[in-house]
Amino acid sequence: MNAFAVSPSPVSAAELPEFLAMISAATTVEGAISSGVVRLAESVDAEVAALVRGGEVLGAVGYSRELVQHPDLRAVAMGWSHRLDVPGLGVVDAVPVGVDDETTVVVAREHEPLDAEELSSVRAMGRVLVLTIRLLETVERQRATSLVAERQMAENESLLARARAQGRMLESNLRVQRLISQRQPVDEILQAITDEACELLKADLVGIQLDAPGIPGINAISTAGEVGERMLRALSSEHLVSLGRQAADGALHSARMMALPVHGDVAAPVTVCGAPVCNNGVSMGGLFLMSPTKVGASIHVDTAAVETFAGQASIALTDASTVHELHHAFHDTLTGLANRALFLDRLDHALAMAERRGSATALLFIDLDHFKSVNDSFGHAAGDELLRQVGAALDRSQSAYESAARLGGDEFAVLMEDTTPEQALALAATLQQSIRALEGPERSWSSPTSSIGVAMAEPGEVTRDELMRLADIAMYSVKHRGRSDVAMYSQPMGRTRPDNRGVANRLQVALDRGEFVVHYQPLISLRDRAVTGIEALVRWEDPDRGLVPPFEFIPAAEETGMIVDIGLEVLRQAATATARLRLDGDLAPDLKVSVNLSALQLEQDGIVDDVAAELQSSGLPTHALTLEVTESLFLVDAEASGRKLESLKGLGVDLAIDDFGTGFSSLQYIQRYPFDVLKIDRSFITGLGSAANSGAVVKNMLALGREMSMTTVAEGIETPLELAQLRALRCSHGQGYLFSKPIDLESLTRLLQRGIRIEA
Amino acid sequence: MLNVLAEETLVASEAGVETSGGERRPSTRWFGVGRSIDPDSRLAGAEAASHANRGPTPGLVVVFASAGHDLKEVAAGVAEAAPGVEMVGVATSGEVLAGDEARRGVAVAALGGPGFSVATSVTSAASSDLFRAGARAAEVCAGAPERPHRVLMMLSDSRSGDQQELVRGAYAEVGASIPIVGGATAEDPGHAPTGQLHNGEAHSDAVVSVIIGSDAPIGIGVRHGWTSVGEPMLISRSEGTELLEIDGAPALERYLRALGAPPSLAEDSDAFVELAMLHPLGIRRRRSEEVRFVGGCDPARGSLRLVAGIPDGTPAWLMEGDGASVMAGTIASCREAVDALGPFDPQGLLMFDCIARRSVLGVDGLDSKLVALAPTLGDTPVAGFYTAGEFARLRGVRGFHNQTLVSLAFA
Repeated sequence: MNAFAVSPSPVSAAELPEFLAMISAATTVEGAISSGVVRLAESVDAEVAALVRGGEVLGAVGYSRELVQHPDLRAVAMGWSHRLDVPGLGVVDAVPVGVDDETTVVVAREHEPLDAEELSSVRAMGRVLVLTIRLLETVERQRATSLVAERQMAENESLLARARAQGRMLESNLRVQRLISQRQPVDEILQAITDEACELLKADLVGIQLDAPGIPGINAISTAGEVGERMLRALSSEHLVSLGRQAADGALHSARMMALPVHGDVAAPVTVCGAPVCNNGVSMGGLFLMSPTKVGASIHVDTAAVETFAGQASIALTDASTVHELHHAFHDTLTGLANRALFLDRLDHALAMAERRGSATALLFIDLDHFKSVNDSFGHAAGDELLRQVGAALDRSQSAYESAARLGGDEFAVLMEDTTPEQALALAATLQQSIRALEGPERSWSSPTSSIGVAMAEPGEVTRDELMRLADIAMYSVKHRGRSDVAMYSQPMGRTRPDNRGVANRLQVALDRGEFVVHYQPLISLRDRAVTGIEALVRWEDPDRGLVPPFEFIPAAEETGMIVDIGLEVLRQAATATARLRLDGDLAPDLKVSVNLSALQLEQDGIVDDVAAELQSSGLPTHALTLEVTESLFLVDAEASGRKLESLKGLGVDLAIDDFGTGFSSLQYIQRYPFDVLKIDRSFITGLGSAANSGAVVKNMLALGREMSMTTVAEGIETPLELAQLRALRCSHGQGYLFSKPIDLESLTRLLQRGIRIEA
Repeated sequence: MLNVLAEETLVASEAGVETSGGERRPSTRWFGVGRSIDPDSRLAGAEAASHANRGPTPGLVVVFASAGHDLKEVAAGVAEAAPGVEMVGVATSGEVLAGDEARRGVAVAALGGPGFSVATSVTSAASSDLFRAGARAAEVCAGAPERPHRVLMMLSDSRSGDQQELVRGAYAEVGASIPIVGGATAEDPGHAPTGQLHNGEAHSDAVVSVIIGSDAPIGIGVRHGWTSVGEPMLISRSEGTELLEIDGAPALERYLRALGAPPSLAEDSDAFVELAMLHPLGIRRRRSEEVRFVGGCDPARGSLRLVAGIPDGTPAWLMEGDGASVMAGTIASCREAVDALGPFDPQGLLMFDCIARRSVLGVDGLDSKLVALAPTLGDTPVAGFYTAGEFARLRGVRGFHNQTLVSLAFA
């Protein structure tokens, strides 16, 4: 088991310093080329890498040595072909990566195309390789010429000077790469880049300007000497931003002359050159450099070197955001505690260890009492403060347990290994006291209470999910008894959970009293994180028990048939709310809503009329409604279900197949019935990119969706890395806790106003 | 024609049959193993080789001799039992042999028959330029007749340096067309130096390479049996195979803290190695999870010594394993190799198994390993040795592993 979702890409970035070290140790052109192309291929796990200059293959790996001059390689380098037929591999897709005007690196990897970051890494390595080769060629030429004619000594010296300059370029690259790999703060790295560029390129002013909101102090400026200082004083911040944006747009790719306004409105001519700086392949701004020039003088700037520095800035940004995502993937940002994903992994591990050791494990579920009213009465800032303080309170007791986490909302969990029921109950009581001792800001909450459920696992007896469920039941039993207490799970507790008959009556009463409320989870366009739709999810606001999660009552509702009326109620609320949101100014004019339709609902004779009636009375356009069904529908009466779906489709609504992949996933039905949306079940998304989840299944599902012209929605996205993987796999839409948990209508309205933020 | 068929039928009684073109017909290849615990090196070589060499037209003998033996004498004995046959081998700190785990003996695997072709070479002074040594070792591939299935086997010396450099050199020579397998010999303190064997000559700091071509598939299995635990750590400073900092803290301190071990453990090198053996570091590659063996520490420098380096900036995990998980890795590796043969029956397996894995399994573990392998292998002959680093390049350029079992199955 490996639940860690770690993008493999940092490895290729991490290998840059190693690549640089290796390449700078090369002493011959041949040695640099042969080990350079191998390392290049290795860094991105490619089978083939070739360096092609002016139509000549300088070196290649992947082919046996006698086939290195293969015409296919040249064809790919020239852009005539995108395929290579490699002995031992067969035909593979290949990409040309331009390094400079005459040199191209060709890379091919079996089964999996290179992503933008990898291509950028290949380009950076290619540039260093080309620089090194030029350097070594110069040195070799120089050696040869010095043997031939002594009178060329002067020329040789200038060649040597150039060689040394290129050597310094390599050293400079290496210094910056080291800062990147040591994960120094981004602004320090950017500053180092402008410093190095200033010195090496003999520029008077070098700047990096980025349009990256939320990352302060990221712009860097370096100047050389008095001239540079003067230029910087003359430039307004608007000028600097404008230069950065021109560089970002590629407008400064070739050095050009510009007028620099100086004191007294007299414009002085300067040479300016620049290149874009990207994060994960997306342009964020630019690196630019300038020096005074004379009108009519010829302009010479090493544009390849400018791009190398900009490329390093791109790597620094990309790497920093990857590290950020890595941390974010495992921790709750508000409290700093482990998040759900990490906690579940630790719990798995603890249970496995306990089984080996034969020791008991305790799980504590802590739920704050009346947290909603704290938010409602004192605002979300006060609520967040409470959560932060609870996190800190748990942290203070950390010597007594192995791991603590915020599972979401006001739910916390604590894991104790190798423990006893007495110790677990004692810790629960201590934690409850320390939470009660908390004080909020003046005139806000004070002495908060909590309900704690404790469940014990004897070695090998319960699974992780079962243990979570037991602790949850124990916690709910506290809530049921009046909150602010501790309970340990016991067998009767499970048995006394309300049976279906009781629930059926209770559900009817709840329906009559309007206790079913609809929460909404946003559906996001993964391309731009825009909210394109919402999924309506029913919740039961039980006055006794608080908010009851669906898994506690939906099965009973299904069994007793109550699901038909509850489902209709959900449709009614969702359609009305969505219609209103669509008409609320520019808030969400194109918002769509998805509503689940159970198999039992679909069996009802009047279902088509009911849906039509709800659409009409709410005023929601038919195309704004998506009905979600699961594959299990077809298990009972596929023909009848299909006919109903056809009729519903006839109304103009969209149809989605939900939890795809968890049922029997028969393509037959997907092909036969008019589905518009394919929703990939969360179990395929969890841990995407980790060793445990290569994404192969998701990839196939996405291909299937594309083949059938269906919109694909990934469910249960919880980490930025899962998101990154899905984007790389070209999944168009998604939903999950990373963007937002299911929220009430009021919170949804606020979210639509401010947009989706993935908090730092 | 009739005569040839009669001869093949004779072989088939030993080596099984294969399906071709819808008809079952006798295999033209055979594989055998033999062992000896005779203390006399020459006699041991001869005895093991005569047991292994059991078919017509032998093509190759692979010798695994305990480091206590005189490698040259072992070779002489082998040559007596298998005169004129291409010979490669290693002096090891332990041999793998199905039916018995010879800790201090000689094991020989032999293969032959018209369905196999073999060429061998030796490249000495590998440490002076491992990349070039790898390329030269792979030149042997040009020397064997073309067959539909081929594998390059390299037997090297772990003391020569970063063995991935060998793989890079070999890959630069042969490209993606030929998979690479093999292993590096482990140091064996207290015994004669380990070494490599080629056609009767003993070498050290050498790479012995063999290209084996076959008319039937050759299966390769690569598994380790460790799982990652806890949060990822960041390798923040390393130099070659010395790991200086993890998460910005001294690597040794951070490693011991992650294990929950007392800092004083660093002072007791035996106890440290014993613990480190069970907790290698794992790094995630695009296509696999790689294991890096922590072979020791330097308390003065606060650093860890690895067998293969991890570049700065790489996320790494603590790995964990026990007898059961390493066992599961063993079975999976064999099964993977055998499954890759498709409809063909395995004739024999060569195994390159990390010495650290043996330490985890312990002596009882070794017995249970053979029992556990029975459902996969039956009475298929197996031979191999305990390595300090294993070669298996199947995709991409990477092909040097740690704490891994590489299985090579012949049909």
